[in-house]
Amino acid sequence: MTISFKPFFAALRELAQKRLVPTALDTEQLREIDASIRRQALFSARMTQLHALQTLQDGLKGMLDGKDNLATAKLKMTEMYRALGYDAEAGGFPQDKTGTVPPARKGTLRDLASDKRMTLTITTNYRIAANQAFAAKGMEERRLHQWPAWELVRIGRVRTPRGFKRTKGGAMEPVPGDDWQARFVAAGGELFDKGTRMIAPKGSDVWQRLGDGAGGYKDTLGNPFAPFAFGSKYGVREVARDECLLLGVISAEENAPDAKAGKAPAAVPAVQSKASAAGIDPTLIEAMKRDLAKQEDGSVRLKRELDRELAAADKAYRARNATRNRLSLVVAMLMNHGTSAGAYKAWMTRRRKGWTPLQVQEARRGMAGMKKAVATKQDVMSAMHIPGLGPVDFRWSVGPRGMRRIYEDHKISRRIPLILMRGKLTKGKTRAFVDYKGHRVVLASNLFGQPSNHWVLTGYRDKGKEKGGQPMNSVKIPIRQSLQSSPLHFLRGERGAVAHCKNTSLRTRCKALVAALERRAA
Amino acid sequence: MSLLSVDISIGGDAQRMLAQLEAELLNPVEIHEDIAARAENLTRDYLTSLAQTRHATADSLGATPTGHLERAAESVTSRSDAEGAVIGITSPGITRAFSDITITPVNAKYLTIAATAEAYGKRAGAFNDLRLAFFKNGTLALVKADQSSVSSRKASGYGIERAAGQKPPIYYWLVKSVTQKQDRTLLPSDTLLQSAAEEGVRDWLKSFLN
Repeated sequence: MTISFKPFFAALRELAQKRLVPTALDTEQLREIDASIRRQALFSARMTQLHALQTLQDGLKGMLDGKDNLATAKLKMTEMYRALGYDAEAGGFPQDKTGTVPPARKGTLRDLASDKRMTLTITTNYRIAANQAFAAKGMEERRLHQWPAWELVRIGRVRTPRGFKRTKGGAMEPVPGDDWQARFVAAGGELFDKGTRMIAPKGSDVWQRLGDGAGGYKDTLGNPFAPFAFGSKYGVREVARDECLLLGVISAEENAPDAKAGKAPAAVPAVQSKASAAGIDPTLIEAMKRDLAKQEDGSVRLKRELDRELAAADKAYRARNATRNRLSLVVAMLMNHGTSAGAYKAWMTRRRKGWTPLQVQEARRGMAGMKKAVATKQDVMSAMHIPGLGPVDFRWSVGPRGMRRIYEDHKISRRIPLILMRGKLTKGKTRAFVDYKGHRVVLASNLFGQPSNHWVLTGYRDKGKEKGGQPMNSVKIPIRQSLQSSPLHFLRGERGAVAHCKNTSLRTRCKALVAALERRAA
Repeated sequence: MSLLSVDISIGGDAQRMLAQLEAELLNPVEIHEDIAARAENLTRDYLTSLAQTRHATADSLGATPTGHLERAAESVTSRSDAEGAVIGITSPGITRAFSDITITPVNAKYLTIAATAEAYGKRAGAFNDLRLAFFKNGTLALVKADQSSVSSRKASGYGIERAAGQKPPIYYWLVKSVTQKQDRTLLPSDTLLQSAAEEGVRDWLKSFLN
């Protein structure tokens, strides 16, 4: 017996089968959707952006792969929220229509970017995928016979367990009827071993009822497997047949071993292979073993034949998905949504134009900082970070220099972050100049005679204006805009894919969109 | 005194059963399956019990545990075939059960070691207000940048207050590498695994005889 550290393939399969469903619904509204549908989807309350869901799925994949940990998955989510311009207090993502997502208080569970919420989302989805795989394995014929019941057990430590609440002074106070034992009994479960153990047969309805919140519990997830409720640190363990018989969970006749179905198929091929191999040259048998591959159903096939079939199936799958992805991109682009393919395309477009995702992110951060400085007339520290230089502060008023003077003299704010990100940097000991298309931004690191590792924006000069140079209006951050600038051109390139699409509704929708766009262009 | 001799002859059902037993032993797929199930459940239970007691770092910082042992417990799987049984765990942190491991940064220059409860379980990139701090003994850290307005700092004389004893809070220590010593207690002992394997064989035998 060996112990290996490897990806959790079964859970990865469960995760890969889920569709990404962005939604503005909250938890209460989501509970009204049938649980079987919810089990097939990956979503989170009020998460309306597909990009964010895609990042969540990527983070979960990384964790189930054993490559990432929770902190890395959270960081990925944070970066995506920053890039999408998420603001909880302003009503979520700027792409959302006003009023569709109610504003949330920063730092609470309703704030998607709060640490509490990200931890809950990632952990819950990780546990769902892992336990879905565990539950499926537990229902396999032999496993079901040898381990016929689940036991509800605590799997981790919590500050305030269910069944208790914290008083203002921090003391724990019991909440009768809210603990897991009460829930288990309310779901029809029976307590064993002097009322201390919550055990029920694997096929029992108790597990589904527990997940449905039988007894009027509103924090459940609707699944017949762990976790049964949000933020729960309870899970299930398998109980061996002997123990079940001893405790009286099952009777000896119940779940009896199926001798015909369970043993015969395994024994018969072994006997047959022994008989057929008699008298055959051992070297030949070895050679055959090398060429044979055992399939999941126990049958044996020639390896090269199997490889050929797998390669053909893989090629067909890739071709099918390539068309589907391209069409999804078309629809998503026109509906102002994103898909994984869309995000990739957008990323590629930015790369082609020379913008790295980090540059885009920092430029957006800089613009937000600039907007804040102008609106509040206050300093914004570490408003953006320039590679090769460091953090830059936008200080509204620092004597005769600073943002106020630049704004009053030139009436500009948006272009400065763009110049800082795209311009050529000339760095001295205490001064730095960033030049871009005839525009110069000046930064100082010793504004008050004291050296600092922060650079302060102190000056701006429009050399282009003085000498009739190129106007700055043409420079914009190419987020989405690059894709949206020529959708018709893009769609025309995809005509072949649209024509050959076998999904009728998608094909019709694409054609309608092309027609609408051509009309608009005309 | 006469010697008693007993002849035992096996035939009928018993002989068929022995033949079947021989076949099973020659191709021990189900035996390995039962061993794998026992070992999987042992490992899962063991990690679950660890998850409820081992929070040394989180406790020392006063932080909420990240729950990596819980996730490790729920990621335990098993696989078996005629060759043997394999227990799989998806948690990089458990590898130090077998040997010392040295962690070095992959995409950065330094590793970050959380120094406060707020930083525990988060990456430094999750904060946008940290700055580098150098210490006289050569150590490096990421500290929270000053968030006060310039006017208030101007009034206080730029750093006079800080010099008087208000040090910025340290969020992360920066180190070049970390070596974690082997900790065999992260996984069930060999004796426990051996017992689980024996239990597995017993399970199989019981189901065979039933």
